[in-house]
Amino acid sequence: MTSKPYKVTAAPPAPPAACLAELKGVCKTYTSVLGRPVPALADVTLELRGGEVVGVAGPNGAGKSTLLSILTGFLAPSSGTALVGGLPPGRYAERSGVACLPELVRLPPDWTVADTLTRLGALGALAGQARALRVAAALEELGLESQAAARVGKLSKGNLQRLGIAQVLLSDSDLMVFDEPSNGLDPVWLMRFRELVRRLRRPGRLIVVASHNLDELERLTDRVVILGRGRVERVVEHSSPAADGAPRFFRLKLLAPCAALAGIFPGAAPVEGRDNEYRLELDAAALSGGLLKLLQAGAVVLALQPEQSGLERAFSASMENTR
Amino acid sequence: MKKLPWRYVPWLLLDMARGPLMFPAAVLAAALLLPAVNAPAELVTRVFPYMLEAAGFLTVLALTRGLVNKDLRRGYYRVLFSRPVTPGGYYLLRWLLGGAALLAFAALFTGIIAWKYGVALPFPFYAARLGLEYLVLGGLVFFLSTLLREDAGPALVLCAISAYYHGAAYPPAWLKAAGWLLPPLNLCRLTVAGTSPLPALLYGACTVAAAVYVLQRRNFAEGGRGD
Repeated sequence: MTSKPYKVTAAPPAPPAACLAELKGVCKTYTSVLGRPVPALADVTLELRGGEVVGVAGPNGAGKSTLLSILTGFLAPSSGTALVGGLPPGRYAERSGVACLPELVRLPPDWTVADTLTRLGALGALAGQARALRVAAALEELGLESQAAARVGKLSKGNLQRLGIAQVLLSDSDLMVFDEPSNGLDPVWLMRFRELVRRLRRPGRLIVVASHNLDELERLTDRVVILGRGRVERVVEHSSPAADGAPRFFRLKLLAPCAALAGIFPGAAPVEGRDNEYRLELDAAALSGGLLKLLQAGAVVLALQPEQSGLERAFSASMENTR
Repeated sequence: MKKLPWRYVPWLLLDMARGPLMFPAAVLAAALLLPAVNAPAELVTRVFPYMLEAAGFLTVLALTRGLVNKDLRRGYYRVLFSRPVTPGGYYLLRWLLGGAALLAFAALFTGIIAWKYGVALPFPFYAARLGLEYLVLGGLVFFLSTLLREDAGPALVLCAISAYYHGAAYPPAWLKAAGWLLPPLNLCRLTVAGTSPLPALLYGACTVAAAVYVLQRRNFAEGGRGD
């Protein structure tokens, strides 16, 4: 086993630190082929702190990738201010680098996997033994050792995405940006990616993940910025889902019908076309108490799952507003 | 010079060897492998400078074509410039290495000619003129590459207009007014001696400085995805 040269934090994340990235009234307008202005971001104001993992969600064309391009310094805002570590993002990237997984991983097709990582390590100022160790660790972490000699152009979509993630691991930057990281990853690598993000977390480091996959964002992040038509519709803090005590929707599946159910959960509604499956709307306390009574009444619970997460509800509500 | 990523030089040289240096390598191989005819020294000193001049021109184009815009078009910049490196420094280093490769080519070429024909060509003069040509034409292509999706084509058009302008006895007034924009390649000829290199030096230095300036200020992504 190669030792992992990047910092691993086994303990729960430290409380968020000072603001690392700050956007104030950021607007970005593109110009169409016909010369018409196409707004991509409008008046985006955000403070992103070191030590947190922030998600960016939104439908297609909401401005997620534009926001990430501004954070990484590849695009300048049309107006407003963007700062990372107190510097314009481009200057910050030139000085400290940004660990960045683009939405589309583009690399010269004639480079090999190992060559790609070695080159990017060298460009990232890793030298000699440290570079070799880091490359070996990244290859191992992403399961690419057997592909080390393969040319980039011959890689499958999943392996290319893993190579994209591997090159992120070569950087020790305090800003890590993942744009649609689950693209092409199978469920096994999706789980490993989640674990990797947990390990990459450290005080002072900001990790930004943009994704269409709300479930993924809910698992990975502390809060999610929901964009709609270039505006911040809302910022959802979801690290403690039931903290607000608001009722949630759940699905309950029993092995067999239970006569006591209607008395314990008066609002339980059978799910159409599903035997012994019910929809419940209640808060966490009522759910726990009710479940206890249900089990005492002899019911066998096969499954209980949230029907819609807080993030999904917030997202749906935001999208309703933008229509 | 501190901002140039010197640590990346071995890979830049490797990329050059696999791509743009194939052409000058083929010229050198031909010069080396073709049987030497029993030519008088006067003929050698007249013919080979023209060959070197033509090969030098094409080598400059091969070395600088797509220098910046290839990475932009293909989206490679996203992984390259997420590293702690300035885009201006990165491409300036690539451009400088191209110039060094051109001079190495000229040295090898004159060396091969001297060895095969026993005639010493004036390498310092050729090196100075080819260096000047790299500064002028290579600088122009570098600059165009930071702005346009195609660079060598427009540069060739400007070279053709420049050749017409400098060769015409009475160029049109509009061309006279725009003459300073045209690459002064007439001052970089290996086969014409005695011209002042100053305008060419100024032209080349300005295009290279402009290229670095643009690189430090332009948006690399065209859209969010930028590809």
